Amino acid sequence: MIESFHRIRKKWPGLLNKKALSSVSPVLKWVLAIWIFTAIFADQIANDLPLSCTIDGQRYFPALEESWNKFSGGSSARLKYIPLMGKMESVVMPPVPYSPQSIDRKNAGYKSPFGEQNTASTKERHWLGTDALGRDVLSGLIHGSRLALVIGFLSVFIAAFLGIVLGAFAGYYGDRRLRMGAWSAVLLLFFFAIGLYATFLALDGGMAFSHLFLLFILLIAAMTGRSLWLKTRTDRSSGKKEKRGFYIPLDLMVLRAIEIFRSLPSLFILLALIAIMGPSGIVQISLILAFLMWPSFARYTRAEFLSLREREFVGAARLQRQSDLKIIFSEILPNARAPIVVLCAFGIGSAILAEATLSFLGLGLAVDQVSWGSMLNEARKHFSAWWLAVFPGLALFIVIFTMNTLGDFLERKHSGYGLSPRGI
Amino acid sequence: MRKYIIKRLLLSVPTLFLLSVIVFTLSKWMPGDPAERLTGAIETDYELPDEGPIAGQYDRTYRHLGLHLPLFYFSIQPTALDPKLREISDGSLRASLKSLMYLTGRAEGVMEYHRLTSSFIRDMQRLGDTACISGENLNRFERLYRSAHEIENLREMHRLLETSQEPDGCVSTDHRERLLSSIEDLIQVEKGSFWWWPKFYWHGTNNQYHRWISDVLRGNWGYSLRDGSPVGTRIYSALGYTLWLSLWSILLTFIPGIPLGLFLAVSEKKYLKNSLRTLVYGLYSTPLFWLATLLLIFFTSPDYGSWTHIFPSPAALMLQDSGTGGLWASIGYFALPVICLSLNGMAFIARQMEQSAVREKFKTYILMSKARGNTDFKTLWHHLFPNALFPMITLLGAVLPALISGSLVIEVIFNIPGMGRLMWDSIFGQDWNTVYAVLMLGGILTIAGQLLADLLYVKNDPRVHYD
Repeated sequence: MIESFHRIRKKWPGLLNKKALSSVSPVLKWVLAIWIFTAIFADQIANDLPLSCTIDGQRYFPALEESWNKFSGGSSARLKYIPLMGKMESVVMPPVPYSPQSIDRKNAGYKSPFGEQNTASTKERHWLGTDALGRDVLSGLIHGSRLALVIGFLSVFIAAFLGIVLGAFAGYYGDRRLRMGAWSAVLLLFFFAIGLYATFLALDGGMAFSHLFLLFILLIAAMTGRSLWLKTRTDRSSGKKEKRGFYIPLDLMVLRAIEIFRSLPSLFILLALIAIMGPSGIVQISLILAFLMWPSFARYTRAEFLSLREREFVGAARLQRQSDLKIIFSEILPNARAPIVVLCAFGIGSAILAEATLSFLGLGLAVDQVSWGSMLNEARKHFSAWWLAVFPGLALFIVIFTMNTLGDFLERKHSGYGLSPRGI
Repeated sequence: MRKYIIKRLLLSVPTLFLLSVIVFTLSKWMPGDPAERLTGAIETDYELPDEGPIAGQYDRTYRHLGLHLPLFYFSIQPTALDPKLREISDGSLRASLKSLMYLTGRAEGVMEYHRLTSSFIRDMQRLGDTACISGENLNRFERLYRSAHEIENLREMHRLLETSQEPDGCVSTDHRERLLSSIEDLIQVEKGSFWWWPKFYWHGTNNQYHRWISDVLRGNWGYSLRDGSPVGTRIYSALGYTLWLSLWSILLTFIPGIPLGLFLAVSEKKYLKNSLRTLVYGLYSTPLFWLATLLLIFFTSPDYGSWTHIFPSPAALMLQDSGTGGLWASIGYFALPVICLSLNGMAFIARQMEQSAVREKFKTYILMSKARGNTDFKTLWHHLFPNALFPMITLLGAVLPALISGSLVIEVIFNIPGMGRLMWDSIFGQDWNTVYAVLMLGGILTIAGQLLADLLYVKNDPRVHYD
C-alpha cells in the first residue's frame, strides 16, 4: 500500500507540465509571453535615457542602470544622466524614446496618432498619441504592463498563501482533530494578547518598534522552551500522550471568518481602506486586494482538503508517522492544487481589474505610478482624444481576457469544479 | 423552516454588530478632523444647540459630535495615559499632552500640570499688565505649553516662571507655586517601570459607539457632516436614482442573459454558437469602466460627427428636477449607464448559465425526457432549466445589495447622484455619518440576500433541507 501511494504521488496529473502547456492556444501563450517580456524590460523598451552611450570616451548603459536602481532601491539613474545629456556620444536610444513621465512640450495638448506631430524623425513619433502634457501613450502602456503584472501576481500570491494555509488547516483538522493542552492554549492566548497590545502601543507612539522585536524573540524562546520541556516529559513517560486539553474548532473559526468577509460590502471597504492609507505603493495596494481575495482561496482549499483527507494515501502517510505539516503540504496540497491554480488565473485578472478601477477613480497608487487605469482617467477630461481611452483599455482588456481564458482552459481540463471568479 | 429563518436572523446579529464595529473603527482611523469640517459647514445653515459656556465654535462642535466621549464601552490603555485626555478639544494640545504622558509615564501628574497651566495662563491673561509675568513671556510660555513634546520644553517653562517674578506690587496667584512644583515633579521624578501596564477602564453607555448605534436603532441616522442635512434624506434622494438604474439593468441582464446562456449550452448551430460565445466571453472580460468611458466619449459629445451625438451629456443630469416626473424625463441620461451595466451583467449571467447547463446536459434525466418523446423545448425549460438554475440563485442573492449600492463606477462616470456616488462623495468629504449609514445598509442587504438565496434553494430543490 505504501508503495502504491508513492506511485500516486510521483504520477499526479500534471497541470502545468509540458504536455498540458502544449494544448494551450498559441495566441494565449504569445500574449502572456509579450506581456511578461514588456513588463520585465519596460525600462529598455520605452525610456528617454539611451540604451547605451559614451561619455568622455567611456561606455555607459543608462537604461539598464535605471532598472537596476529601481530593483535595488538605489538613487535614480535619471538624476545622474539627465545633466549629462549634452555630452553623450554614439547614443543608442530604446525603440520608444520616451519614458512615461517625460514631457514633450512640442507635442503637448493631445496629439492624435494619425495627425501631424512635431517630431524630428519618425523614430521619435508618438505612435499612439500624447496626452495634455505631451506624455507618450505607448510608453505609458509599456510601463503600465509592469504595474499590472506585479499587482496581479503579488496580490494573488499573498491571497493564495493566506487562503491556502487557512483553508488547508481548517479542512485537514476540522473541528475535532487539533488538540491543544490547556497550558499551551493559555500561553498562546497570552502572547497573542501581549503582541496585539504592544503593536497598538507602538502605533500609538508609546513604544519603540524595536521592543516589538524583543517581544517576538521572547515568544520564540518561550515556545521552544516549552516544547523542549514537553519532549523530555514525554520521553520519560515512554511516549504516552497527554489526554488533557481541548479541541480547537479550527474549521468553525475559518468558516466564520469567511462568512463575515462575504457579508462585507467589499467595494466600499476597499474604498474606505484606500482613503485611510492615502496614496500608497504597489505593495500596500496588493495587500489590500489580497485581504479581500483570500476567502475564496480558503473556501476551495478547505473543500478539497475535506474530501482528500479521507483518501488512502493520507492514511498511508499517517501510517508512516509523517508529521501533520508534512501530510498537509506535501501529500494533500499537490493533489488539491487544481482549483487553486484555476482560482489564481481568475484572481490575477480580477486583481488587475480592481487596481485599474481604483486608479481610474483617481485612488490608490501615488501619482508618479503609471497605470492603465490612471491613463483611462485622463481620457475623461478630453472627449475628443479617443486614443487615450481606446489603447489603455484595450491593453487591459487583452490581459484580463487572456487570464480569464487561461482560467477557463485550466478549469475545463479539470472539469467538475464550478469555479467562477468573484469580482471585487 | 421557520426555525431555520429565526436561527439565521439571530446569527446575523453578531455579524452586523461586527460590521458596525469595523465601520466605526475605520472611520476613527481616517485622517481629518470632523469637528473642523462641521465648524466650516455650520456657518451657513446648521444651528448647534448651546451647551453651556464653552468658548469657541470649535469646542462646541467637538462636544456636539460627542468627540469628547470615550470610543467604546471599555478601553484598555497603558497606565501612563489618562482616558480623560479625549475631553481636551484642542488637537495639538492633546497630542503634546499625550506624548508628555508617554515620556513621564504619569497620567495624573500631566493632567494636574495641564489644569494648573491652563488656569494660570487664563488668570495671567485676565490680569494683563499687572500680572507677574510679562506679556511676551506669557506668550512664549503658552507656546511651549501647547507643543511640549519634550522634557526640555518643561525645563524652559520652569525657567520662565521662576525668572518672571517681579517683586514690587504685581499680582500673582497661588497657582504659580503649585504649577512650579508640578512641573518640577514631572521633570525630576523618574519614570516608573510599569507605565505600560494595561489598565482596564469601563466607561458605561456614555460612549461614542453607543450614542451612534442607539440613534441608528431608533431610526435616526444622524446628520451629514457636509451640509448638516439629515442622512436619511440624503439616502432617500439618492436611492431613487439608484433603484431606477438598477431595476432597468437587472431586467436587461437576466431577461436576455438566461436564454443566451442556455442557447450557448445546448445549441447545435456551431458557427452561430461559437461567435456568440466569443462575444459573450469578450464582453465578460471587458472592464466596465472602459466600456462606459468608450460609450461616454463616443456617444455623448459632438466631437466625432453629429450622428454619434445620440445621448445628452451627463453633466446636465444634476440640473434636472428629481421630482415625480423627473425620472421619466431623464430617461435619455439613464440609457447609456443601463446599457453598460446590462451588457456587462448579461455576459456574466450567460456564462454562468452556460456552465451550469452544460454540467446538467449529459445527465440521465435529460436522456429520459427525450426518450419519453418530450419536445426539445419542454426538455430544456421543464427539466434542464430548473436544475441549472441552482448557481443562478446564489447570484440572485447578490442582486439585492447590488440593487441599492448600484455601481459606483458607473454612477461616478455618468454623474448620476445615486448611492454609489453618495458613498464616493462621503468617503472623500469625510462625511462619516453618511458612510456609516450606507455601509450598514449594504451589510444588512448582503445578509438578507444570502438568506433569500438559501430560502430559494429550498423552494427550487425539494432535496434541500435546513434543520
